[in-house]
Amino acid sequence: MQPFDYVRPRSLAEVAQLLEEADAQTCILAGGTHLLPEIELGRIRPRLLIDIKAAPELNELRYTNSEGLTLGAAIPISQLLTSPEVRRHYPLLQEVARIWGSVQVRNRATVGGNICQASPAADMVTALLCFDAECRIFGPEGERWTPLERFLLGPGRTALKPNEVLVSVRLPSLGGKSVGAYRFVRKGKGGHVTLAGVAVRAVAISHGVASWRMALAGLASSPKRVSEAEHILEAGELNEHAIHRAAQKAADAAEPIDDARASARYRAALAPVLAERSIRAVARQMWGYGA
Amino acid sequence: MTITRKPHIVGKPFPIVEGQMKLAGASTYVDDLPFGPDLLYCRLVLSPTPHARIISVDATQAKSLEGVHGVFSGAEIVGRTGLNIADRPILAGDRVLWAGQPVAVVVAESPEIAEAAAALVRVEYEAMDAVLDMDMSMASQIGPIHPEMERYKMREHVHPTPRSNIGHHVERHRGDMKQGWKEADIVLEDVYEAPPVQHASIEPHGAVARMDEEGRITLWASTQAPFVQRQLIADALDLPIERLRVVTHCVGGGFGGKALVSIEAIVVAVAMQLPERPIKLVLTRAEEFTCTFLRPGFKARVRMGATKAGKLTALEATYYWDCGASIDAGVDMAWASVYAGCGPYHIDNVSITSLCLYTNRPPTGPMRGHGMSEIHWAIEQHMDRMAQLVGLDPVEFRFRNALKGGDVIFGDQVMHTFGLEQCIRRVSRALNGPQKGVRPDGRAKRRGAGIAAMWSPTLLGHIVGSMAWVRLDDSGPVHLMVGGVEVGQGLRTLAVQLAASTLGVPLNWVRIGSVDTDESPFQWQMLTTSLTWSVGNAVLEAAQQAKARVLEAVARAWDEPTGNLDIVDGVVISYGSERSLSLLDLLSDGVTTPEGEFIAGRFEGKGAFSPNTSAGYGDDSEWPLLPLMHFSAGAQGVELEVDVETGEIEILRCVSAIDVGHALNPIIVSSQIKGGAVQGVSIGLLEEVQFDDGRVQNASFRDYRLATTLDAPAKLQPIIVEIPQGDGPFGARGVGEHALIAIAPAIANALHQAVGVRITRLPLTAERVWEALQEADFDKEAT
Amino acid sequence: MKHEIQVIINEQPYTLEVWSHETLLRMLRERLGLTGAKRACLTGECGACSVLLNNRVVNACLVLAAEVDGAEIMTVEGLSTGEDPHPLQKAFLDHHGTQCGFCAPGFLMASAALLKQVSRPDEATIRAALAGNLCRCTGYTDIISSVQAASRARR
Repeated sequence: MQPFDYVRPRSLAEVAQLLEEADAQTCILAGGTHLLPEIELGRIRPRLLIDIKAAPELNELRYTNSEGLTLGAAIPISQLLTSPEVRRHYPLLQEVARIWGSVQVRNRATVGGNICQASPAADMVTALLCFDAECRIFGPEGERWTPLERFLLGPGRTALKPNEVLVSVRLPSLGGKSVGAYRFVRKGKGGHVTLAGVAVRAVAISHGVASWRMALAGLASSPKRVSEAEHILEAGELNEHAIHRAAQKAADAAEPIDDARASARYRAALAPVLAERSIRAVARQMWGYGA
Repeated sequence: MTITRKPHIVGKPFPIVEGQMKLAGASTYVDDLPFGPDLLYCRLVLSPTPHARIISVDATQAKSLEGVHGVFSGAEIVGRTGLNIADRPILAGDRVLWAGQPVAVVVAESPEIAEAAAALVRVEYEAMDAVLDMDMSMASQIGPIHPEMERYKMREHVHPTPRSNIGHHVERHRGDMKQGWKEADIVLEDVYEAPPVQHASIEPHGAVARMDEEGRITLWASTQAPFVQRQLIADALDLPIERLRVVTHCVGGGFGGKALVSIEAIVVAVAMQLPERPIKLVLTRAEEFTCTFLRPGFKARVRMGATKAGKLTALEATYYWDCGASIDAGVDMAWASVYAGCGPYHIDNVSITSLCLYTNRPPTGPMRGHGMSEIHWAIEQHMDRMAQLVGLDPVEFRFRNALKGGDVIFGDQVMHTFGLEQCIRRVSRALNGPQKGVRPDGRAKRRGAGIAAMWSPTLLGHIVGSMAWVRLDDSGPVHLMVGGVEVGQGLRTLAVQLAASTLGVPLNWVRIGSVDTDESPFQWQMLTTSLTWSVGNAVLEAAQQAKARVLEAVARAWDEPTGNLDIVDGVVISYGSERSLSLLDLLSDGVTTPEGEFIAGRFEGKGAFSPNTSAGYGDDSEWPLLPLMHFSAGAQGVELEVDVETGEIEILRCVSAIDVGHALNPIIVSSQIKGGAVQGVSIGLLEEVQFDDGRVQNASFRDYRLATTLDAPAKLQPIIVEIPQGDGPFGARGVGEHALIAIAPAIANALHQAVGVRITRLPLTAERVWEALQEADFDKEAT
Repeated sequence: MKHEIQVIINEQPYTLEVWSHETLLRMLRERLGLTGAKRACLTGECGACSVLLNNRVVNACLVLAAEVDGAEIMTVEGLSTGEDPHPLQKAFLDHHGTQCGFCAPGFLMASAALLKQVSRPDEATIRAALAGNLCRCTGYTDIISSVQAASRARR
């Protein structure tokens, strides 16, 4: 590992100040589970790492009925597993956290790091898309907000400008019982890179009616919402026909690529299968049928 | 005198002797050894391209970095290593032969400086056409990648085809093939493939070397074969063998990947350039994939004939080995694949050809299974398919053709008794549950079960035999030394058990040291699961001798016949006079004879084992002197569940029955069987070194997936079959490799039973299964 | 750049001067001679360098030494108390939870972290908790039995 400097600012203001002087060789260090291997493997060669974990603003995990859930960018994935609010209101996040990386990696890797890494196959980002997450960004011009969907610009690319930092994501409160499911295929059950995954979440509105969200992992250049599927699921009764049509919309929305891990053809074929399974799992949890 | 009854310590499940140290984190692997501030660190400069001429290596910039002590390329470090044929350059000479090949080595005061300097070494290449796979290798459109191969040092049993990329060609025939095909009612031919895989021991390869003021070099290495390394490195560097010493403490897994020489020669060569400084090189995980060994890629063309009654009449097989840039280890594998190439079956008419092909890929070496995993991948699927065509149950079909003791095998030897049929029977009985495409809950899931049998020869390499030394004195009290390396297989524990039981002392009295070529008895290779048998016998003899020395001394002191005496629980006792003397007292105080002679000090025994069959074959035999000492047999069964929509396979259960002769320590034997089975599952479902344009694509644990706790089957069922090995210690033979061999074909056979598709190329990834289901137009709704 | 850090390692306080780019793994192995945590992949994929950081298991190769200022670290060397082996160490020995021994310290630390959170984990929980640790020798079942035995012994 080639030498670099390390600073540990104690507040968001300090982070911002350091970022103002940042150059192309400055990297933000959150969990380090992606960054440190990249340095170790010689793929990037930073001059300075700014460790954001000591800034309280980036370490919030707060839930209020009015504002919903705030997840600081620096909170480790494993913290989602111990939060009663997350369990109660956003169980999909826990389901994904449980299958996210290894215990060792979950204890370090952060929500913000996972977002900013901008991997097309990011499971947690896919789950967050199901909650209309919004990103709070801080930079020289102050604070700005952007929907997570628009924050992601493609593999390794985000809407973050060079001197900005992702502070937190906010997930609006849902106003009803929320259930979710995430079905995915990886290379082996112990693999960490998702070849294809589909997250589905529903919030009960009234008897038999719910608001739905669906998002895809590994099936496009970024995790991606499938609003066409959501419309079908919300439009009427959840019957076999609707499930199949919604799953088909996942297939239509998929724009997968070939790489060493899987072919585009295979990934595309997984999209409707996994979508259907996630929908059924959600319906089963919500209403006890649909399996 | 000899002990004939089986002592109580043998056959019992003792924990491994070095377990406490290992579990305290106190065992020292090569990376853990302290060398102080003199230590210098190496970093390799690797070739980015699979085949190219090296125009120049410019290290000026690298050398100018502060803290750099040297940069050496193939111009300074010249030599090639090899056991059968010296075809592996220590550093690339005028050409690079594979992407990721070490071209130069940088030596510096810290790993950071070495890394930075390595990035500054400028190498100019002129690209050459590369032989990227076996088809290109066979097609010979591109000239031989080793044009000067005929001049390499090689052993007699290497048979290259001149001016080609066929580095070794062997074929043998028996019977009358025409007759065999004529007798056959059913003939089936197909091709089976297995990609290169990596041993992936969790401990990477590492070595430290230091040349002392007298010019003598010590190499501390993570190796399975210190004596082989001493010989091959000395040969390659033109070094008198007495100037090199190899020391091996703990080895964090080998599986064949540490059986020969890879990067260790570099470290020794650097140590010769920088005297009196310890020189260290520990590979990165990515380097493990290109700087050590891969298991060769494999392709088999198999044609089998059988009568309607289910009797095999003919087998014609061609085995192709993608050996990468070095066929060295492939030569022995190719020979083994001919000797044992028809699987554990008796067939009158056989023709087998085995070819080691050079390609511009990383060098290949032996891996757990030593070619047997690959040939059984082909043969055992073919057996299931033949059974189906004949209309017989696969188990019954195997029984009808199984080799029996007394049969003359293809390799001209008379088969000894072995437990093949017992193994098959016990596995098939264990698998006998509700199976066959049954849908469990979840409409996308199908279940299936499959079985595969196997045999595996034990060879002893070119220098046959093992030695062991036992020394009793007041510092031990028992020192046991063997030249075989503990890599986790349990050798030290077995050796200690055998020594303690023979001597009649408690287990914890016996200390067993590291292997040091200056101090330890000679042991050539650790190969093909031979150590339990061969080292075990040597330990028995050494312990018997040492015990005899003790009893002779005490007998003289007590003026009794030696035959009256024995050692029980560390006490010398006489059944005649009923006297007793603690062995510890004897070792510290000595004894005095009635004549006044004082006897004290050390009591030593030296054991040597060389199998009777080492002469092998007669002078006029067409088989070379590559002795196959004996065979082990086994059978493995798999139950799996396949998701017909995603192609994912879940292995529910592996049953493995292996004939181990006699289980000297059942817990070690079971553990070997379970571990081998999961390695088989890993290779069967996940593992493949992927290439793109000659470059490894997945040189990390992220993308080269090994089975984890989540992939390993919930149930691993080891079944120990014991048909004693005539010349084994208490009838024992080894087990290490065998438990891997039949798993992959058993998975393929189970998959076929579950969903009716046959996949002939490893690994059975979800995508490959899904593709096969698509091609077969699998009907999800049908049962 | 150097940083002075204060850290408790295996219940002993240390004040150390560490480099910015020094990983916790390197600090433990080279500065303190605690070589139980192993170097095997350096990218967080194998778990051989697992240690406890404030009672949670982490890959020491993915943590910078400068990051552990004020933290509490436990390595395999700190698992036993005095002469007595930790119940996990005893169980791994009795149930043959290790062969070559190289991955064992990592498995022990991941198991220790699990048992701190769940006193009697079932098999599925153990498998999930140890999925970040690779073992090429054992096939894992003996490791899982070892953890189960240790959890029973601790009760």
